[in-house]
Parts: sequence; C-alpha cells; structure tokens
Amino acid sequence: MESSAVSSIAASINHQEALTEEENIGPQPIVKLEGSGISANDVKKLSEAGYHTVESVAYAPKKALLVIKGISEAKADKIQNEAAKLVPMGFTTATEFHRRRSEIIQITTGSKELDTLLKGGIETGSITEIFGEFRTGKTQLCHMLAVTCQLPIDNGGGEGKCLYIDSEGTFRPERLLAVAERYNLSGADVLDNVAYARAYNTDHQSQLLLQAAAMMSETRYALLVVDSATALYRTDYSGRGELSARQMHLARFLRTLLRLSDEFGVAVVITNQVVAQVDGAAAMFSADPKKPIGGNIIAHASTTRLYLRKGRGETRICKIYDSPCLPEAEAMFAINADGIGDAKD
Amino acid sequence: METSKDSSKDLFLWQRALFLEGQTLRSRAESFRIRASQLHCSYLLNSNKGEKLQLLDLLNRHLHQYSSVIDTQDTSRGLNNFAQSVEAVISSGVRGAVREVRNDSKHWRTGLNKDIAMTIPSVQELMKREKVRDVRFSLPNSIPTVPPIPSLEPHPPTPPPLPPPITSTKSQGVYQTQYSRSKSVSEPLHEDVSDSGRGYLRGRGSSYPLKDKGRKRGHDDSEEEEECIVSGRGHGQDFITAKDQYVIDQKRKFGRGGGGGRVPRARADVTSNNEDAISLNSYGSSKKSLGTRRTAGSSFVPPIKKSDVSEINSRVLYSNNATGAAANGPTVGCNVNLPPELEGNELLKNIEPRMIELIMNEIMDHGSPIGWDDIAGLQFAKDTIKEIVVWPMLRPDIFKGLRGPPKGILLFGPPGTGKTLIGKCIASQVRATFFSISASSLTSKWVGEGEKMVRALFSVARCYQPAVVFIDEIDSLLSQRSDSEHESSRRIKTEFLVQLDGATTDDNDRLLVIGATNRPQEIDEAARRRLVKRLYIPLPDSVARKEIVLNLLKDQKYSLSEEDTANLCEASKGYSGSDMANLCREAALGPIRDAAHNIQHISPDEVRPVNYHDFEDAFCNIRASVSDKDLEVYTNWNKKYGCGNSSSKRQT
Repeated sequence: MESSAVSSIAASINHQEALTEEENIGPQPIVKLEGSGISANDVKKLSEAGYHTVESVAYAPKKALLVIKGISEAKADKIQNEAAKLVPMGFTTATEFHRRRSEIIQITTGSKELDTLLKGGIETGSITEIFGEFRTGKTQLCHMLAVTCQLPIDNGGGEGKCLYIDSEGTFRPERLLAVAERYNLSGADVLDNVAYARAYNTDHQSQLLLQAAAMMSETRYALLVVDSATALYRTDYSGRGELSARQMHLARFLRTLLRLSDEFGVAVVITNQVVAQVDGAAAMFSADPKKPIGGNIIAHASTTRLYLRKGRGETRICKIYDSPCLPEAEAMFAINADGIGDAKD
Repeated sequence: METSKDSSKDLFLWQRALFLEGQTLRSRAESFRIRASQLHCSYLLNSNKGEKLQLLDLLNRHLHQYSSVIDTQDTSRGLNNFAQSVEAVISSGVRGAVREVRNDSKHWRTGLNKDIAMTIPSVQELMKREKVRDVRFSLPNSIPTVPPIPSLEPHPPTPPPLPPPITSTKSQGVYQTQYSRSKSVSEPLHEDVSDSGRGYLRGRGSSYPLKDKGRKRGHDDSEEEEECIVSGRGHGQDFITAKDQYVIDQKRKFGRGGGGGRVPRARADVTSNNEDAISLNSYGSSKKSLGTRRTAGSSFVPPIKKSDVSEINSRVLYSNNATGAAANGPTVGCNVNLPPELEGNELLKNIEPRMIELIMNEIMDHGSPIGWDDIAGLQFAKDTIKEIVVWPMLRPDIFKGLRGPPKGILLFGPPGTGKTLIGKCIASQVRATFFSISASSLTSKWVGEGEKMVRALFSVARCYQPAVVFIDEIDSLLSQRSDSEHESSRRIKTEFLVQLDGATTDDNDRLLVIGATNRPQEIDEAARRRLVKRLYIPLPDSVARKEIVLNLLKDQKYSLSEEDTANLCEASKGYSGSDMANLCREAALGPIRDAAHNIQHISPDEVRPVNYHDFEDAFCNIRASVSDKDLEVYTNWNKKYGCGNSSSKRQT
C-alpha cells in the first residue's frame, strides 16, 4: 500500500518535471512576442488569424502576414524580426541534428513486422502518406495509431492526444475501444483523447487545420490523422480545367500540415486513394497499374509513402514506396478484431 | 393638347405596368415597384383607360405578389418589416408588460398578444399616426399621398408618380379602398404582430440547425446531453472528442435508449492481452521528445485504467536491430549477425552474409582431442605435417619467403589408414582455425551459388588466419575435368583452383588446404600441382599394427604374450588400420560370447581376459579390405607424384 503511494508520488513528480522541461523545449506561445515589444493588440490579431505560436510567425512568409487585417508592412517586418530572434532558424551541425533525430518518437503500428519495416513505427515530425485500394486497411491503420499514440513513449506511443479529420465518414469509435482493450487502457479516456472532426468540403478541410493549430498550441498532441486527404478534392474539383486550382489548393493544405508537424512535432498521417491507369503502355506492362492520386504535389509533400495491398484473408502487405531513409521493402501485417497485428501463419 | 399629353402618359404607365412585371428585383426595390404598378393600375382603372378586365386582373396579381414579398418568412428574400420592430420591442425590454413576455419556443408562438402590444409606447405612437393618416385619406379632394417611400432605395424603378388630381368622388372611393387594402399589408399593424413575430423567430431558428434538431428530437435527456456536448467544446467548434462522436453514433444506432451511449467499461478480468500492462508510472519517464519539438502545457490524460495498479513487466524497446545491415552490402533484407571481427572486412565486401554464415558453421572448434601419439606409425607423414603446420605456427618469422609453408597437402592412401585421423589430429593440435569442408557444404541447388560458396570459404578463411581447410574425400570436389561433366561442377573446380593459387592470392597468406583421398589418380592435374606435398599414407607396418592392437586393448583385460602379439602382427599383414580395429573389436567380443548363456547375471569383472584364441577366431571373420593390386596403384602413383619415397622405402 505504502509503496504504491510512494511510487505514485514519484510518478507525479516525474510528470511535473517532464512538464517543465516541455515548456522549455516546446513551441513558444505567441504571447511571448509581447515581451519583445509587439503590442498586445497585434498579438491578438495574429492569434485570430491562426498564428498561435512564435514559430508559426517565424516560419510564415511575409506575404501571409500582410494579409492579416491591421498588420502593415513595417509591422510585419518587426514581428518577423522579433520572432526570428526567439526561434533558431540558422544553420546547425549535422551532429546536433543527428542527436535531435535520434530522440524522435516513433509511434508503433501494433504489428512487430510493420514496425521493423518502418524502423520503429510512424515517425513524428513528418508526414506519412498511406495509400492503397479500398479494403487495404488504410482507415484501420489510422484508427490503430489514434490509440497507440496515447501509449507511453517506452511502449511505442507518443504520450499525446490525437486529432482526427475524417472526410469520408468512416470514423468508428468502437474500433478505438477494441484497440484500447488490447492495450488494457481505459476506453473512455482513450476516446476523450481523440479530437474528431468531419470535413465536408475542401475549404472546410483546410479551415479545420487552423482550429487544429489553436488546439495543438494548448495541449500536447502526438498525432494528426487526415483520413483521406484527397477524397474531397476528387469531387470538389473536376476535369482538367480545374486541375491547377485543385493542385494549388491541395499544395496549400499539405503545406499547412507540414507546418503543423514542424511546429508541434506531431506525426501527420494522411491517407490517399488510388487511380487505375487504364490507358497507355503502363497498364499493359505492369501487373498493378494503380497509382496514388494527387500527382507530384502530394508525392513531394509526404515524407514517407506507404503502399498497402491486400494479401490473403485478413493479411495486408505494406510496401515502402518512398522514404528518405528506409529501404524499399515489404512487410505483412494482419487486421484483427483488436486492431493491427502480426500475420499468423 | 392636354388630352394628348395625358393619353401619352397613360400609355407609358400602362406599358410599364405590363412589362415591368416580369422582372424580379431585390425585396425592397421589388415591393416598391409592385406598389407603384398597383397605383398605376388603379389610376388607369379609375380613369377608364385601357381594358378594365385586364387591369383588374393585373391589379389582383400585383396584390398577390406584394403580399408574398411582404409576408414571406425568409428574411433574405422578403421584406418582413414587422420583425425589426418586434425584435426591438423585445430586446429593449420595455418596462412592465413585455418584460414577462416569454416566447414559447415549442409551439413557436409569441407571448406578445394584442393587449400587451397596445401598451407598448411605440405601438401606441404608430397607432396614432395611422389614425391621422386615415383621417387624412378620408378627406375628400385631398391629394392621396403615396405611402412614404424611403429615400435610401438604391435604384428606384420608378420615381413615385404623382397621381393626377382626382376630382370625381366616385373614382376616389375606389382608390381609397385600394389603398387601404395595400396599406393593411404594408404597415405594422397590431393584429399582425404576433404572426410576424412567429415568422421572424422561425427564420432565426433555422439558422442554427444543430440546436434545432436537438429540440425537434424533443427528448429532454438527449437535449441536455447535447447541450453538454456543445458547451464542452473548447474552441475548434468543429472538433469533438471521439467519445462524443461515439455517443452520437450509438444514439443514431439504438435510438435514445438509455445507456446506449455509455462507453462500455473494459472488463478488468481480461488478462489475455499479450501486450504489456501500462501504468501511470510509465508516462513521462522517457527522455525522448515528440518530433523535433515538444508542445506546451499538456492536458493529455494518460488513458490508464483506474483499477489497474500492476507494474510494467517488461518494456518493449525498439532497438535499432539493423546495425549490421549497413555492412552487409546489398542484401539488407536478411538479418545475419556477423561476429564483430568480420564486420567491415575488405575481403568480405561482395559476399552475401548468408553464405558467410554457412561457412562459419563449418568451423570446427570442438573436435575430439586426438594427439600425435594416437596415430600409430606414419612417422614420415607426421613429421612432414609438423614441419608444414606446427613449426610455421611457432616461428612465423623464419617460415617466410622461400621457407614458407606449402599451400596444400594431399594425403592419399588405401582406405582406413588414418588420413582422416590425421586431419582430426591437426584440428585438435594446431591452434589454427580449422574448416572441415565436404562437398555438401559447398554445393547448392542454384546455379552459380557453389562457386560463390568456394569464394566465401576462402575469403572467410583468410579473415581467420592462420587457417586450415581440411577437405575429406577431395576427389568429390576436384576430380579430373572432362568434357562430359556438368558445367556448374566444373566452375566449382576452377574457382577452387583460382582460390588455391591464382592471381589474387597472396604468398604470405597463412592458409593451408589439406585434402584426403583414396583415389589420387582421379584428382585433377591442376589441383595436383597446387597440393604440393602429396603424402602417401600406407598400410600400417608390423610395428604400427602392434601399436594399434596394444593401443586398442589398453582399456580391456587381455592375456597376450610377446610371442602372441608377434604372431598377431605377422598374421595381420595387409590389414589396414581400420581392419585392425575391427579385428580387435571382434576379438574383444569372444569372452562375451563364451559367457552368453549367463549374460544377464554376469558382472563385468567376471568376464575373462581376451586371449590369442579370440584373435584366431576373429581372423576368420575379418579379412583385409585392401588387396595387393589396389596397393600397387597407390605405390605407382606415389612413385610418380608422391613426395617422400623414403617412407615407402622404409616400409619395404
């Protein structure tokens, strides 16, 4: 009895230490700019326009700041100068960067084999794109990650909340409960830690990210899921005439995602649909003529691209399609009743 | 002149009334347009210009249009001019009566009834003005002013036409009724207050669809719950927690059944989870950071089961288990853990790790301990091997250059004469890495793999210098090359030859290949050259045979005199080492056979010693396995190619 009390006290102290440490390292709230000579009024304007951290101001192009009502050119210059003083944006050594990289959290997928393929799991601070046909487990993987990101870091989690943007209406909290059961977590708390929003059109989808930025500046989020980042774009824009408008919009959306992952260090997981290449030589010679939609824009924006394929029964095959450091290889996992797991032979 | 002017004006009005009708303008402008047209129509009707029926029809239509514009409850389209005043009344909170007015939202009926409305000062004032206007209109010969047209009308379709002075009383009556009718819809009259209020509120309600829906559902509990949800959201009005979504989903599925929305408590007795138990202590204990940065102030709730107090059994650590993968070259896929001394070795650069592992398995490090003394006879062979293998180990500084040891030894001789035993002895006596290779460890079902295995073998052996590669039955690998053999086996041979002594080999490599065979004549001539020392391992001579017998019998009881052993050695001429061993084995069974009737009860001590008689019996069963003819082949080959003919001399 006594020992458990002592250990719980120790844990809480630990937790508090971690909190203070977080405040030193984490993104700096925009209010900090007030200390360096920016008026409270301007700070308020910035935060209303979706800039909730000093980093977001520092990383934003000047053009974007000028759009905000009441920010003149001179003011924008001053704000950016002050922000740049608070945020290190210069060169650093590769050693330093390597040290920081080695501390990056990876969120487990629940399957040992898949984790080995990804060298630990979904990387935080970058965008991971999952694409594949329907019934290849994209949404299931998203659900799985929404729970595993709440696990302790030593157990392959991120110790943070999850933000889930759903554009296809496929979010099922019951799946989260099933996964929570597997990890012996409290189902109610797991659900409380997931912020969910349904996106109804592409503009709304982008708008949600502004809210997401505000929410992330307040609490610790480990994961941002956009289940089908491109589904709405497929229908909101049609034909070749609107292609460039669609791609620009998509590029801006992805840029915002990248900004969020940079600013808050969250893992961004987006899913993508596929299109079959029915004409041309590619369809004749390749056995699997499917490719992700969104073209080069999404290909360049996502850091890691994973291609999911259906295997036998409940098994699925994940292939690394593009990655800055992972070798091109495949792994097999299974979709079980309690989420993603290893394939049983 | 006067009439023509009048008629042209009338025509203009008539046309306007007819053709402007089709256009739709914004609410306010449209209402004015319709009213103006109405006035024109009534004017024309009064002055009996144009067709009466058509005019009446037009008038009727105008009236309908007008009322639809005014009365519509869509605030964006219609000109609902009651709404504003009602809202003003309610929001300003007029003293007294209206303060208690409550809108009964369920039935969408305002509590503002006629009596209460009459007490509102603004309404009273309005009424007063109405009366005045009524009075004014009822006056004969007075100019019937068009109801006040606001000056802020953006595009007046028509300037308010001044109706011509009306002189006839008859026409005036008609006009007045018309006007009063139109007025009844245009002015906020008290009778209409409640009705318009309703319309207004309904319009507002529809702009909040979510709340409205909640109301419509009409269930008190669900309403309250939903209210909680709405108030529970921080900012990010669009984001709700997954739990809320779950509740909504459940409600949708099971109606408003109580408890349907409750998150089921995970059963605590489920212990079959193979994942690690997680407790509060495991949070915040890691020094890792989230992405590149951590977030400020955390309100994240660790999803721990409240009842769960179990400690973490073990932690899943994702170590980077692919550390060796970088050194393994192109095949990163397979995880072979190479010993550290091999990592990054130049020699192994292009060799598959799997093959290296296979070769590593052939290294013999626990052979049965056999000393040089265990080998009877064969003094010359033993001396030569000591010279080639042992001395260079002791003094590598002397044995270099011209004095360097040969790269290959071939041990040949009839079967069962101890060639393999010499190999075993070398393995246990020499402190070098000993590879025991047979054909099976080098060949593969894949074309091309065999050659690579040979290459891998020599590469690994070079990494582990000094090394000895012992190949028993070397004729299986290095037989004579011929036209009829398969291409792949030929490639293995040539690779072997290249590795033994080729362009890439270094003279200073301390690598010795020992081959053992009993068909030396089948060895390829190129291989023969490379196996420099070709040692004939002959049948044991009588001294050696005696040694063998005594050696084998030393653990048994035996009664053999010197004479017996001499006879034994004489009788066993032509026997090989293994034949001698078999002979002794057979003889040792003799005492047991005598005691066969009592085998279950006899104690080991009671067995009689082996005597000469047993050997005599054994000679009947065991014959020499090598004929003189066979021996001739070896001796001929030895004369031709063998080194150390002295031994054969010595034997004879």
